[in-house]
Amino acid sequence: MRDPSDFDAFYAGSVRRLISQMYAMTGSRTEAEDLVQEAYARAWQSWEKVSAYRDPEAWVRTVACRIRVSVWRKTVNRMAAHRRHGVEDEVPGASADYVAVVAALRRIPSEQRRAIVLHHLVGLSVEEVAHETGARPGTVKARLSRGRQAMAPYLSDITPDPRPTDQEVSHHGC
Amino acid sequence: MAAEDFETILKAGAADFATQLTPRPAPAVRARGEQLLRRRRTATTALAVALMAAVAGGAFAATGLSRHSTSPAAIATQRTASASSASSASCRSLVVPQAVKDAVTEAYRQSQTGLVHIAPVKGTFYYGTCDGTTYAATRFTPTSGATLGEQVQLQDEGSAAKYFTKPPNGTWTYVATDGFPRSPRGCAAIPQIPAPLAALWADCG
Repeated sequence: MRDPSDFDAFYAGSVRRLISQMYAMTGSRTEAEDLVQEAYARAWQSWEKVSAYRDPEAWVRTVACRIRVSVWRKTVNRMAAHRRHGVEDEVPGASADYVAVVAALRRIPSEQRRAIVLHHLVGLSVEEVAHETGARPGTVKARLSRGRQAMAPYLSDITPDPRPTDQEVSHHGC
Repeated sequence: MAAEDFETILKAGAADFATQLTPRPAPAVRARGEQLLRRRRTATTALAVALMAAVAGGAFAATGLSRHSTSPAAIATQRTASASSASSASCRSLVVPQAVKDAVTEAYRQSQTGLVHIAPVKGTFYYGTCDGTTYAATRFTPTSGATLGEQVQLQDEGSAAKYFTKPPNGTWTYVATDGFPRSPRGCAAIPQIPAPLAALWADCG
């Protein structure tokens, strides 16, 4: 039996954090909100099972990532729109520095970006990132190292136009 | 901005950003979840109705009894009995040994990147042979130790049966999957499964 109050408490306690994390991964507040709320809807759909998992929040985050990948694969027009718009320059509620960091994240490959967000923002250990992404710890370490290296030029010298080129935008992973 | 500051900015920015958000109310999210659930149930019910109609129609044709005189439970029993013992001209439905389940599961693992902790769903395994080639169909579920990625992948794929073939002296190969929603014809709609075998399997209902 699914318990609405149990779900509502979980939702209230985690939804803002997850939207914020997904914003760091996607660069779009609207997309982050849509993905996370759709992932919560799926969590409610299977709440008996999901609530029994050790970390339901990680489950929702992983589902949000998978929805994003699925949406990107299926919706060519939306991909084209994102290529046109890239990262939102002004995001209500986000500081300029934070938007700049997210813009820098958008310029590195998606698997590196996901590893960096999970490790540096979510606070997962390398082993936990490996568990959540299905990669080996050594691969995660390499992604973190290469990702930080790739981000460095964009962080030390913020450019006026943070939009990535088509080649820089990678939509595999999350 | 110095590169080493990015983690501080990332964390502080994300925390500030989170406080500014006004997500949808939880009941609205649950309503969306219920909508998804209804869609899935509607697809399952449509499949069940179509299968019942097909099976009841077949029983009427074979026995002359009214299709309304056969209860769903009785139909299910008949289908199970016929699937386990019947054979057609060139096909036979067989009792599946554990070794076959293991080999088929391994074949599916090999075909799916990152899927390791899986097992066939109990009661969904079909096994048979036609003209020397063996066939299998099953659905998979995560087992203990499954990663989040595996759990999610199997949630997406979990309702879909997977189909396998093995030529004489060959190995098991994953050849097809159910679509979503599943065809009302069940495994009779899978071209890789011979129609007489699908019939013996009661269309994998």
